[in-house]
Amino acid sequence: MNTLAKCGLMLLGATAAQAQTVTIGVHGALGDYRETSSDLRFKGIGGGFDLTLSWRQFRLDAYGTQISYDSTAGSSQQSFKSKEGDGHLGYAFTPSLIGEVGIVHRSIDPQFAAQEMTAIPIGVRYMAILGPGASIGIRGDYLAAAKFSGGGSASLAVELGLMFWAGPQNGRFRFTGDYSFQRLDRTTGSLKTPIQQSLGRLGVAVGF
Amino acid sequence: MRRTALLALLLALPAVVWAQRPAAPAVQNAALNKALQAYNNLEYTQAIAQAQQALKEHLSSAESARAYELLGFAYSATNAQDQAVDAFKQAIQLDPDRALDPARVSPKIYSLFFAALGQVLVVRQLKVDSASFVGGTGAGVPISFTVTSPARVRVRAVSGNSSVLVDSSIVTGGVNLKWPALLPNGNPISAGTWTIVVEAAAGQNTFSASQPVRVALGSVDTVPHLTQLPGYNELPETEVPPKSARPLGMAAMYTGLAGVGVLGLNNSNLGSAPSREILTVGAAALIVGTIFTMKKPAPRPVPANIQFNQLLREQITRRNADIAQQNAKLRQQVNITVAPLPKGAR
Repeated sequence: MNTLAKCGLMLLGATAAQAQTVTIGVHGALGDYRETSSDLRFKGIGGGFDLTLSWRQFRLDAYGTQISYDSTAGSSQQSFKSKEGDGHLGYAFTPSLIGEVGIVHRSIDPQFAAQEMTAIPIGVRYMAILGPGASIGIRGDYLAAAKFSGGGSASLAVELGLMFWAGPQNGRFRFTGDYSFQRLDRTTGSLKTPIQQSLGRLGVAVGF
Repeated sequence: MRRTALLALLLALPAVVWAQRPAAPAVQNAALNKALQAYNNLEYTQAIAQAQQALKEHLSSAESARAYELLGFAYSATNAQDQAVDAFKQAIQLDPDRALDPARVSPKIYSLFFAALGQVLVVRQLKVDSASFVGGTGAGVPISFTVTSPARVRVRAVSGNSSVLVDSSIVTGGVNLKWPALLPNGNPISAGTWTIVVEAAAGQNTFSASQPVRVALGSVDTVPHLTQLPGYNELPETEVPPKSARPLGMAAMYTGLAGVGVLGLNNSNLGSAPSREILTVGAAALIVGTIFTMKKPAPRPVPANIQFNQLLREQITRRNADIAQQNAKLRQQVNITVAPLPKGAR
């Protein structure tokens, strides 16, 4: 474990040397998960870590978030934990317009309390500078090849996002925020079993 | 009767003028004093006799010149023109710079004096001006003198065994020269005391006048390097932009777009659109936008000023390179300062 940590730090150091910007952060998260009908609705809180790498026109955003979902009042469904990892690799066509592709995976514990999902988001984000050391952006992705643990497919699978960061001009510390809204119109056979998740994250990050 | 009075007045004029000669040194010789007194009393015959008596005695050069001049005046008053001219010639030989003011002596005396000047060969009024100049640049020391009759005139600068020819030509009247203070090989002359010697020769007649000068050599002042161009100052390369509500506006717009997107994408079969998450993140974004709106804007670069300053610095660099080249030449040059010394000084 110790060796693994050292290797990780060395890799991070090597990456920092090559990359224009590396940030590592932690965040708190709020979640809203719905499935099939309005009765199957969960709200949760949690946290996680995030990592961003910038190198020339490329940018990698990665999030690992765990949320404990509880059924909202009026429903008697089982609580569960969601572990969601998503990564987006972007290429900046212009300083503002970034094309991106990535992967989103959500695992559920216990396994059948909700749908596990894996998809490949493909989309664009548009960034704007609020001031020195602060930016805000919006993104839209199509969630291609969405797979579900309970089977089925999604004719419409989209994700909408809002993100920002702000901090001193040197980029050493950042206050970060990220919001994503997923809509997956899943069907299993002739049965409509839509899934919708709203996930907000607020955190801090350190730049290298 | 009136003509007699006018003649007496005309003849008395030289005496008045003689008495008013400025800065005439006191006469020590008794005979010469008597001659002057007799002349002032219009006793011209007596004045001539006393002056001749004085000249037989031991007089200084200045007193001799004065005695001859007095003789010239007295002979003029007695209409002995030839004797007057001869006396003036003697006075001029003894004191070549002797001059009469045509506004203060009678035309008759002045014309006789002028005739005497034309019959002797002297170099008068030799004058060497003070000058300071860079050697070899065409500048020089102004030298002026007057040669009373046509003669071969050689002007030399002499110091010890060194002799530099300044000019040699046949001239008469006023002469103006410029002495570059250079040796024949083009190098500056050595520092020290030099004597400007003007030698005039016409047949058997020769005359020489001289003027000592002090020559000092020094380095030539170099041109200081420029730190800025006159009339041009560097402009500030950054400026603080005015406060703007743009950050808040941008945050509100992006948050609004996300909110509208959520409302639009929300599946109504799953209930109303979730609001907690977007409101939380959106509120944080708006706070950031507000902070950046209220924050004093950071200075931003002004490209036009940066370019202007760059051009200015390039220009100064070019000018300083030219100045460096110019200074390299100046350091090889010598500043020559020439100042005349009192005659007889060494």
